[in-house]
Amino acid sequence: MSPASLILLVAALAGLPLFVVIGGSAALGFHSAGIDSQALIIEFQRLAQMPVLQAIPLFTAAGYILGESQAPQRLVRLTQAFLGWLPGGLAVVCIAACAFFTALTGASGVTIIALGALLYPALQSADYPPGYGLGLLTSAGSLGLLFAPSLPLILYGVVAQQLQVGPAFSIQDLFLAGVLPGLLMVSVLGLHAMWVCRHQARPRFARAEAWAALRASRWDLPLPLLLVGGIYSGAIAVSEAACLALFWVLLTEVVILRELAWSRLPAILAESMQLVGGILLILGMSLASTNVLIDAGVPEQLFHWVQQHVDSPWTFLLLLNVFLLLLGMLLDIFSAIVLMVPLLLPMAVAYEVHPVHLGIVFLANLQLGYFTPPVGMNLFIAAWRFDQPVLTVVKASLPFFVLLAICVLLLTWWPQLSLFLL
Amino acid sequence: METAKPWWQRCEDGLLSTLLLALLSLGMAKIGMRWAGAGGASWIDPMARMLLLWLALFGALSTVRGDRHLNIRLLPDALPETGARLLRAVLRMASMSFCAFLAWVSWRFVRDEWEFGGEWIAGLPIALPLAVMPLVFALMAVRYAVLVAQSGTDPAVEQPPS
Repeated sequence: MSPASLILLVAALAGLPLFVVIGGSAALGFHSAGIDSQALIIEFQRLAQMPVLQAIPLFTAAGYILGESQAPQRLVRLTQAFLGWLPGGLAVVCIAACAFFTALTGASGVTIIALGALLYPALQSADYPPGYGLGLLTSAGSLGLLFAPSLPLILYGVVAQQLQVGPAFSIQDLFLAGVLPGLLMVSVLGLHAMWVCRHQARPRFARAEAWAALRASRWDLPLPLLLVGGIYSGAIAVSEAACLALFWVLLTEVVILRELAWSRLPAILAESMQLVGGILLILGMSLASTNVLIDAGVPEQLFHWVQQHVDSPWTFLLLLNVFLLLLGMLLDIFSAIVLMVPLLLPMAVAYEVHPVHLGIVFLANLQLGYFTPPVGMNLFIAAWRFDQPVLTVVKASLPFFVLLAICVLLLTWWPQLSLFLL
Repeated sequence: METAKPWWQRCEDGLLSTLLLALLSLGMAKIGMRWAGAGGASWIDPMARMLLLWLALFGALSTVRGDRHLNIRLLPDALPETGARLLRAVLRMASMSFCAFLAWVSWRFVRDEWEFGGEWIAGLPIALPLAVMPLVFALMAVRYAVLVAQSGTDPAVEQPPS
């Protein structure tokens, strides 16, 4: 490692923005290869040549608007009306609502903030074991990352497709591959909730409330139907789905329901675009750094080094799980994808791991990393949101961590779970 | 509150919203034309692609405002207040220098595109929309310079939930 690279590494750990770290390393790489530094900008402006990326600002804005509207309340009421009668009904409501909301917003911290205020008091007042509600919300805050139109899945697809290694695949394939592993996680948490709450008194299914909740959500329901039906069937492209989603959300929340004043819209949209700008700037820089890495043969060198110590794909995947779990604690999901996929994907393909399977393993691990003790980000967001000590949140989340870790191991070693629907 | 924002921040919010809504409008127009069987206007795609680049750039510029660009940030929490402020100033200075470098490199790129580049839409040279790049990177460098000056006094910034 050169002294300049070492300085960049230390600066990265010290908090230097990742676009500077990645762009800086790319500029150093071009310089040492004798390539004009304009290559950095030539690679960066390739952002404009990837139509699928248009989905990212559109979906992000739709998610932010939904988070600011009354849609989370209606979602909770609807799921409560239809699932509340099940054993552990409220917990099941929480799991379903969180998974659905995270799939739309793609940002699990937002889920805890938006849905936590509604669900936490209800879980506290119901007769659940101590800490159950806290742990459930902290862990369910990142459920749903494997369902369409999850932004991390789109970003993984974009980065992986740039590398052109292994079998070709589409973003639609990734969405399909996430269905069964995502359902596995949701089901396991749901069954656990039913088991924990099996002795609780349950409300009866109330047809009148179900109808009223359905009526209240009549403007929200076309959105998931459009996204789930359109994207999974392949009838509409991802960027088209993103357009329709934002159009529908603006039409319903601002024009029809008037839950957001026009005057608030610029600030909400601008805040969502700050996140998008941050992600796309890192992605643009990584297009350049990926080029440098490939030209320098870094993925091959890394593979040869790993191959000396790891001889089977299963051991590789197990080590990958541990590594990604650590990574998920330290990095937000978008940075982790952009930074690590260019290094890990060629290695995984060399071990005959399908790129789509790797994507699901990658995101499932990062989802788990969000609340992995001691420094998973959701632990801190939950501690702040629910006004609890971090240690209490860690203890409360542990059973859920174990359950989801088993799911992650299962989907890691059972590729068909991801690849069956392709 | 929205009214408490200075005018230039409201302008910035307005610009980002306008770019996003323009991207949405183009997307909807394209979908409408496709469903109507009218094909698509040839200028929609190049325009939408450039809007995405502008959104990325102006979004990134706006993110510098609160020093909220994504980072790892392991060390500052372990440092005493004075050390953390010093480190913050150094990191902001490094970010400022890198943005200035990007402004210079992208300026050279745009200059070359002006001479040798192709057409964007309606006979306009591709260098025209790309000229936003040096401008935004230069503004980012200026914003980081302001942040460097504020490093001794501003409170610790929080990471956005992601």
